[in-house]
Amino acid sequence: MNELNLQHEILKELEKDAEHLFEMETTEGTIEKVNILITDPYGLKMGFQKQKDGKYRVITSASSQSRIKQQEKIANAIKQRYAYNRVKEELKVKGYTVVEEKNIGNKTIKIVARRWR
Amino acid sequence: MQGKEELEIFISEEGEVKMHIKGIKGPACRDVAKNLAVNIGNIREMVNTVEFYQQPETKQQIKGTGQKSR
Repeated sequence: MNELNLQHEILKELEKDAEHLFEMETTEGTIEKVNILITDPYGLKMGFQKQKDGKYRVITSASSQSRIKQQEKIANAIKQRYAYNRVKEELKVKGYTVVEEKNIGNKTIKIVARRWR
Repeated sequence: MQGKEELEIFISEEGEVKMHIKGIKGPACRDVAKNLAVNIGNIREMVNTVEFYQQPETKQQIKGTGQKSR
C-alpha cells in the first residue's frame, strides 16, 4: 500500500506539471498522447489520458492478459486511494469524526464517521 | 442539537463509494448525501431506508407565564 500511496502522490505532482503530453506506444502498436505516464513494477508503460469530461482513460502497453490484469489492478488501486482521500477530506470539512476505519473482505475499506447536529 | 448522525462508508477495490446514513429521519438524509458527494463524485443511485419514511423529530418549545394554576 505504501507503494501505491507514493504512486498517488506522484500522479498528483505529474498532473500539475503536465503542460505537455507524453507519448506512449499501446498494445496495438499505435502512439497515444497521455497526460500522465508511469512505469509499472514490470517495466511496462501505463498512461492516463484526460478526457473532455474530466475523467481519465487508462492506456496500457501490456500485451499479455496477465500483464493487462496487473495494470488494471494498479489503476483500481489508484482509484480506490483517490476515493479514500476525497472521502476523508470531505468528512473533515463537513465536521465528521472518524470513529472506525478498517479493511474488510474483498479489499473494501470501511469508514464509520459521526457528528452531532 | 438534534442528535447523532452516523455514516457508514464502504470504498470498494475499484474506488466505488457506498454510504449508509443513520440517525436522520425523513428526506433530510438525501441532502446530507448530496452535500457530501458533491466533491467526491457522481451519485449513481440512492436507496431509501426505513428512516427515510419516518417523521423527522421536531422540538416543541413550551412557553409559560410562570404562574401555577390553582
